[in-house]
Amino acid sequence: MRLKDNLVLRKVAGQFVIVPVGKRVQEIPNTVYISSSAAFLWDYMKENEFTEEILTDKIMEHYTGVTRETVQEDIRQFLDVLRKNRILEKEPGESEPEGGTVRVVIRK
Amino acid sequence: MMPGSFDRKDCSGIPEGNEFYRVMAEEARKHAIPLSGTFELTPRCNFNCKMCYVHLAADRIPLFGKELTAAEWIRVAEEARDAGMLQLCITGGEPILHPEFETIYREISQMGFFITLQTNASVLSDNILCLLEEYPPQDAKITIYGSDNEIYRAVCGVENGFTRTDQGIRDLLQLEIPVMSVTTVIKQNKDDLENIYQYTQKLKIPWIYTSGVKPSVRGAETNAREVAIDEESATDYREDVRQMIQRPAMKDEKKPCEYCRGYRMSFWVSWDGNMRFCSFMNEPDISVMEHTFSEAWKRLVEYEERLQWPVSCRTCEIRHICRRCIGMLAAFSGSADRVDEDYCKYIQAYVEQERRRK
Repeated sequence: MRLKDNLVLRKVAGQFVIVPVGKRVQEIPNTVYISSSAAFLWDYMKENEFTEEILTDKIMEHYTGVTRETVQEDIRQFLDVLRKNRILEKEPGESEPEGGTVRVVIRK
Repeated sequence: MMPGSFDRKDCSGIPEGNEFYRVMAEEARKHAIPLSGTFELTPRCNFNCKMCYVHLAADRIPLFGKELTAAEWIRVAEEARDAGMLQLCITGGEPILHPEFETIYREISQMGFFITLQTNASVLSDNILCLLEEYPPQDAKITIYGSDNEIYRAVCGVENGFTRTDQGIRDLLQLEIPVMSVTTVIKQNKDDLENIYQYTQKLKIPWIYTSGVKPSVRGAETNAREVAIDEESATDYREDVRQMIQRPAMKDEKKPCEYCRGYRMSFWVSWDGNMRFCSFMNEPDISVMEHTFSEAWKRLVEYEERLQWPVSCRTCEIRHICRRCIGMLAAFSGSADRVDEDYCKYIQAYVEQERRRK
């Protein structure tokens, strides 16, 4: 999996918000916010391809007192939010989540 | 907070009505974080609206100040982002007429803000449309003054105003930029409201209107009092006075700025670089050129805490009923520390009239 480009993670008033820029603005119409632990993963995800397992490992290395099962479930939920909001690059053969749009602009 | 998302398309400015934003706004107000800002890029405008409080002809601009350059706006935006600004409204005058609009917009729109572009939509050249296609704002807020060119001539003093605005709105919609529309109602267009409404319905764009015009204390050569519709004909206002008589909502212990939705979390930077909390006021003059953004914001928050109602308001018999706003009072009187006697007499007479009706 890979994050799309032109996404800015902002920490504002204690919340982590993903702000699309450029043409991503129209592709990602919802305001998407993530937890602080997900924000911890963001820098890695921005630069690298990743899997659920890799992200789970990252969290397990960084946080103590959590079980792998719990982390896996949280990561799944996190990735699901990203996927539904079109923040992940499509995998080969995968279609955009329901609600996606095709833009046809007729230039003057 | 668990990760999630919400549809912000129906929201203007700061979104309301969702848990995420409620938490964020509470935190912003508690810690005085400038979550939401407005950059008034320029007082220039190609329209000459009879109720405008900002517009200055290009040759009069130097009499009042100097427009910020692109480099200066970009620096302010970077510092505002670092201080916590998330929502940004870009307005004017007509913001697109800032001589360096394209540079300003291109740079700022990549910084990570939710941007609302407020424009009259009549000056959207091919270059501007290409820019907006490449960097679409979250939404465009379009001022609509009438449903035909005749009404535009009467309100805005221009020819083909409606034709140009209509084309601009259609161009934005073609680019799939969410458009919302707003009409300021004055004597010259009040009978056209139904037509404007039908027009916005036809285009399927949200529409709101306001009759709350205020005199300019910032140099615009207009006379809002002359063109304002009689408040008595504004149903919303009449209903509000009735409700206030039944349930007075103005509290002695609350400071004027506390009635403002943007209190401790939003700001306005005027075209000449002064940070204020209200666009209708000509104070305070906290320059973002002489201070860093954070210093200016700190001073603005201190000003908000310090500001009191004018003395005559604090002792007025109807002070708990009179739903006033400090920006409006200042616009009518010329200063935040006094009230306009004619305005007060009018409100008092109106409250008396409603009381008698009871």
